[in-house]
Amino acid sequence: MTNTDPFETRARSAATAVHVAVRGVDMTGAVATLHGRPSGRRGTVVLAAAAAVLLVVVAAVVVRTTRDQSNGLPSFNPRPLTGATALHSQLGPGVRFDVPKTRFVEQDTPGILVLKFNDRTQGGLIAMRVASYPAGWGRDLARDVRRDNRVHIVSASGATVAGEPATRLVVNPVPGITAAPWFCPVGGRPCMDINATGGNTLYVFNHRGQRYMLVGGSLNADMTRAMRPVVDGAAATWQW
Amino acid sequence: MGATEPARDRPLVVAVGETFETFYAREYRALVGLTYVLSGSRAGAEDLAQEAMTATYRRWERVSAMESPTGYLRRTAANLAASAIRRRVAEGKALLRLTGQRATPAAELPILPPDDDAFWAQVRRLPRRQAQAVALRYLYDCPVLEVAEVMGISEGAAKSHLHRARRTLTSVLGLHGPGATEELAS
Repeated sequence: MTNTDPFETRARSAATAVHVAVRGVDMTGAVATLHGRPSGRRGTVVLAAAAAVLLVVVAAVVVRTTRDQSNGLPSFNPRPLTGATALHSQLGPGVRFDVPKTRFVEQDTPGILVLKFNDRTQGGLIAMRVASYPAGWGRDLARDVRRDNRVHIVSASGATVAGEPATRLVVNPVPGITAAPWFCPVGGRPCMDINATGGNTLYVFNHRGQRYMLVGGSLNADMTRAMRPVVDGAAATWQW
Repeated sequence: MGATEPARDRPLVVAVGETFETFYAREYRALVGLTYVLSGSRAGAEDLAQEAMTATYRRWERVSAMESPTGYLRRTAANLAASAIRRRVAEGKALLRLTGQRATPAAELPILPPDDDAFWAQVRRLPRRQAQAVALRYLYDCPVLEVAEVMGISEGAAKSHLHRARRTLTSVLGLHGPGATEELAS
């Protein structure tokens, strides 16, 4: 390599041009990277943009929450809970719930399992094996509920409870039916009242010829609303 | 203000006593140069340099203990630039397929004199490893051995990449001369 080598001369000239060009490169990014937070005027702009995005997200969450409550549709979204202990209940063949350590199970019989939570004075999660239903005695519990003239079906959709095909029903009582005992799967024992102001979400499904219902058990709309986070968060796992 | 300055939990010290802050200040602009000549995009070059710096910062404890933190940084940046080119080519093809239109490059600052710009444009047309070798060799004035170390290849392989690159560039840029002949002969 010599100084008279045209290639070397051209390459070094091109390299020099690049070094000259990058002298004006803004080093603001260095501040952001090193200190982990923006600064100066650019930082203010970035923070303002971040605040705007946050505001939009919060607004979306609020709108969604409000809309859900106005429709009175408690949701059920079973998911495993960290630190939960397994409860093998007497209900059904191999039904299992994962119960959070801080909560307890109040009632457990071969026909009905009521999970009452110690941070809720009323309401809980009820799982029932349905032996009889006043509106019918078919094999399809969802169809029986649909035919029940005491309730109005707000919506019906397909769902899954731990792999079992299930029907998600949202029901409201028809006028004149207010907080009356809706049905009881175990003898004449009081077990569940329908929510007079609506928002009763049920999951019904069959397993090995038996009919089951999973529902957030509560007595009125306020309790249903209060119940919702418990149902969402603590319903845990339904495994067969 | 001393008490309100952002405190670091641990000092970021390189083996030779260099902090990341000093390292950044020393390397950043030249790194933008490297990513620029390899990617061909001034705006994209700064993003790529930032990305490489961020990746280095995240692993600083390990990188700073390396024999050459700078080599690690440059290799990261060169690889990021190569990925960016591949992404851009793929996006261009997708756009052509979907709309029948070719992507129009975003307006960028004409930062280099035309001859120099043409040189780097030809470098970008070389195979990826050859382009990286040329950029490292001339932009940083690296000896061949250092080029090889940064690229993670043998010195012989680096020599081979440089030789082929030089032959191609000499031809397409019309740079034949006595020196070129000597170099090719060697």
